[in-house]
Amino acid sequence: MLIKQGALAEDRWVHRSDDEALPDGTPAIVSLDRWKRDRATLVARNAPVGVRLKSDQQPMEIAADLDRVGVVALEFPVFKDGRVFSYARILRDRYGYKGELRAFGHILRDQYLFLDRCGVDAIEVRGEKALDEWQAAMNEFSVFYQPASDARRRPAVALRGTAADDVAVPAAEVTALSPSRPDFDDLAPVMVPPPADAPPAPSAERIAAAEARVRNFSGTYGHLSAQKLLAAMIETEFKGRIALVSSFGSEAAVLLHMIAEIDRSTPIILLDTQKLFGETLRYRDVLVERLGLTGVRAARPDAERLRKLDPDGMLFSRQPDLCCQIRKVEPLHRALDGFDAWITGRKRYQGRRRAVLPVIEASEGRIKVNPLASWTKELLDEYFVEHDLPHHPLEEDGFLSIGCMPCTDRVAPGEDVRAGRWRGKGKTECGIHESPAQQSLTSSAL
Amino acid sequence: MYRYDEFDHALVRERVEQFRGQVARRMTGALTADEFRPLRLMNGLYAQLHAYMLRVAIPYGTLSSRQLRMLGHIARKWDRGYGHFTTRQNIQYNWPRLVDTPDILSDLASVEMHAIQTSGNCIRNVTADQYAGVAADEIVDTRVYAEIIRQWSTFHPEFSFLPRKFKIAVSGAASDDRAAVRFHDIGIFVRRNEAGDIGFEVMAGGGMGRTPAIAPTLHKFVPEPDLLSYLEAILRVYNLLGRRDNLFKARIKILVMATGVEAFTALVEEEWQRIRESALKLPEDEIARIRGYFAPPPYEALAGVSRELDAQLLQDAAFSEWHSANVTAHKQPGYAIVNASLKPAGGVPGDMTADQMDAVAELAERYSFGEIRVTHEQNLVLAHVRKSDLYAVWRNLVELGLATANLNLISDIIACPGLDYCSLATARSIPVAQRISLAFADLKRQRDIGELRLNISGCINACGHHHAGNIGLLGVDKHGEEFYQLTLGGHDGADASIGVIAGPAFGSDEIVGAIERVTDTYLALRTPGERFIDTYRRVGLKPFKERLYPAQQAAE
Repeated sequence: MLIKQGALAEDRWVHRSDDEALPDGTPAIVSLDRWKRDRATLVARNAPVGVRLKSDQQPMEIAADLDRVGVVALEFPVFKDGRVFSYARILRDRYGYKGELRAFGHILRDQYLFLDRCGVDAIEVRGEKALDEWQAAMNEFSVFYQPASDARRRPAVALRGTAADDVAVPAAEVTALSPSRPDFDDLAPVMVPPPADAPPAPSAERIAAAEARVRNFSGTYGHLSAQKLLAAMIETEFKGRIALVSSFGSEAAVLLHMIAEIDRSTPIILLDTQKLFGETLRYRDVLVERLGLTGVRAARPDAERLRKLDPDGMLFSRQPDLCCQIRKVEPLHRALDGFDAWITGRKRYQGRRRAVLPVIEASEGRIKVNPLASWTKELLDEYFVEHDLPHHPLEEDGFLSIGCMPCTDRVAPGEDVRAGRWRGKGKTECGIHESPAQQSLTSSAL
Repeated sequence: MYRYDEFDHALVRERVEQFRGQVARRMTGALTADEFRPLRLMNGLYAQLHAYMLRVAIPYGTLSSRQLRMLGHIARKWDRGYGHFTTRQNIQYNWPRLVDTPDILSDLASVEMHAIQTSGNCIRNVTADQYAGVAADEIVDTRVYAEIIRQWSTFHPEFSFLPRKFKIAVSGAASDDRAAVRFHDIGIFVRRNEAGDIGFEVMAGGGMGRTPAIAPTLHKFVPEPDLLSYLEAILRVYNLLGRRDNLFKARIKILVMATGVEAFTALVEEEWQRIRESALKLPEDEIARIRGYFAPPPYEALAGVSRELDAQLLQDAAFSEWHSANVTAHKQPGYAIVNASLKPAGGVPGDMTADQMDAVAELAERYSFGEIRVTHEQNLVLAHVRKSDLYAVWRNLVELGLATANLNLISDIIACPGLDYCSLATARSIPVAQRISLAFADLKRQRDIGELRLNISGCINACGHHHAGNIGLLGVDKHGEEFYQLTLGGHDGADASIGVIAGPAFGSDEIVGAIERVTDTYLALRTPGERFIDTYRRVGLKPFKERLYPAQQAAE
């Protein structure tokens, strides 16, 4: 099969060996030796002729005849023989050859883009099945550092070039969202509209009802132990309509264990931002197995939002708030759709805005239960020992509060347990525990 | 420091995804082992004796604290808690799993790092003077050009399947060469001419391996805007004419030797003139843009002399010894360059634990503008330390085991991983280095011997630069037993020379004694102020040979 510019193409040409007759009226490719031997008759033929070069035959040998040949075919005896790349560039750049330049022989799909950049515009591939693989290979890179022989790509700035007709990321969006020198102090908040499929904002009635319910609950359940409070919420008040949102971080095992004792099928949402530590995902698997949890599900960011707003995966370094917004806040809102209440593992001892955390609160029309609000680090440690719970593997490395990999740092002894989160970025919360009004304060004001 | 913009980020991200696909194709068998090999090698992944080895590029040896922390994180999460810094300013992990490598590369990408072209028959990670931008003896900051070369050579479509690997080094010091430039496929000295213009002395055809060679100069002064067209001309000539029939004769040094320097230079010149006026011409504003990344950090205006430091030097003898061995002059008054030794007595040269990496990252943040350099001698550098902070830095390094005061002394050994890890090695390097550094553990004795570079390679490929060591050891296998061939007189400074084999190889248990005989001979012969290499060059091999092989000499 012949691939030209990434697409399957009809091959009008046939290869002929040195002693085969050429088919009348059909374009044919012959060896350089035959070209030299039969040049006069070949030129006078009633159909175009192409010439193929072995990898030790330099294009200089055909340079004078380039306006008489329809195809120059360059052979790869083995893929490692990289002379073809230079031959192609010499044909294109030195001799200005404009006709078809094809490569054949042992070629890897991973060489296709390089060949294309060197001016090879067609490749002969054995077997039909892999066409999509070859097409994919053509699009694996959208940016290039150095000029070469590919007219379709022009260097944008000096050494650099972007695929001119196939820009993977709309340039305007990238410029708007990513200053080339990230500097958290000067970062102006960028307003990004919510996604089209975001759940509608709760109605005023729903918000008021939730708040009334909280006042009522606080009197009824506020004094209960964490376990009893959880049992009341899961089994009585919100049966089937309550979920735990767990980070599967360093202290998560406590709540997970308590819930498993009550109902192993309780829905448990992990916000899989796709930036989590591998350790966290493995720890989740360990806990699921150990506690027999059956309701664990992952809420993931919307692929389309990621493609648009975080095409290079580096949004965390430019706009940490926006990164949390699309990787945590929005997926959580989608995941909570259909639940009237949710459980969190926040504690007052974690400090800062959590120091005044209520046990039960209302949030955007839902009830939020924080059974461990009054728990201290010591109590948590005791619970781990008492129930022989496994620790998060990163804890012994000094990670006391564990979020996404790029934005989590170790915590020095004596530091606030969450001091390693968004260290140096003037940020202490991701936004899932904030109302929209509070969220506007999180970006640069605090 | 250079910082990625969205362009660089996109490129590295796309590379990670490409490699993820390649690993997946290998796992399903869509790629044969033979086809996968060059692809994994171009991502720095080797198959070694016991496991895969991943070599991560540290372009021209410069790291930020954040990057060093990530290297520690990777050591801890994916490897066995340590990494090994190499003679090409890279770091190697010895125990990654193939299936994990795309994730490791993804972790690296998050801190602007990668393993691109750290192996394979392509243009490798460019190396440079570790004191670039801070050395008192520097003419031009080489990092600007090293970065330009890094960009140009990354995924170069024409030069990714060369006859053999290709290494480029850049140095910009007036009289010294801290990057072993003349031992590279292409070596570049950044120069200024009388008019004050920047240009490059370009050498080609140097190398180690089984045919060591010192690169001859092809061009004395390539003007600044023509750097890339000149390099491209050399590479094209090599790609067209370099031998592909014999692995051992495929490096450019063989082509240069076989063609003759003059004829080779003429071929390069001819091609250069064809492509000189092309898109490769470096625009002034692009050079200025890159130079902007390497602007000096915000130094304080300090006095050249620190009274505090002077007092500490008087009070603490150990500090004073470390200061004179491991601290180097900085061009900014009140600042100094600190070398952290990765060569403790009995240690593995170049190895560093994840905890040490974290701690050094922290030190750099506190005392050196968050920047760390890696040297081809396998040590680390904190390039901008206030003189008044030196004592505090030293105390920290002592605690970390990184304050051995042995820079450029006999125990500052360059060594390859050898047969403990490497599938090419014929003998072990690490245990020999350990025994030598223990035998010479007394720092007073080392200081008395003075500057002496001892380099060890575990096979003829010479990754441990034994040809360039004042004393070189080459591990060889004789009927299943490890022997060490001793070479003398190698040197990798501006006046580079290749060591000469002293005589028959020594058994593993004889080698330390042989080295002691060499140093004793030197001590007996040296005149005041002479380094080992000076004495050797004055007296020649003979007196050393007499001490090393007395029986043989008597027989003659």
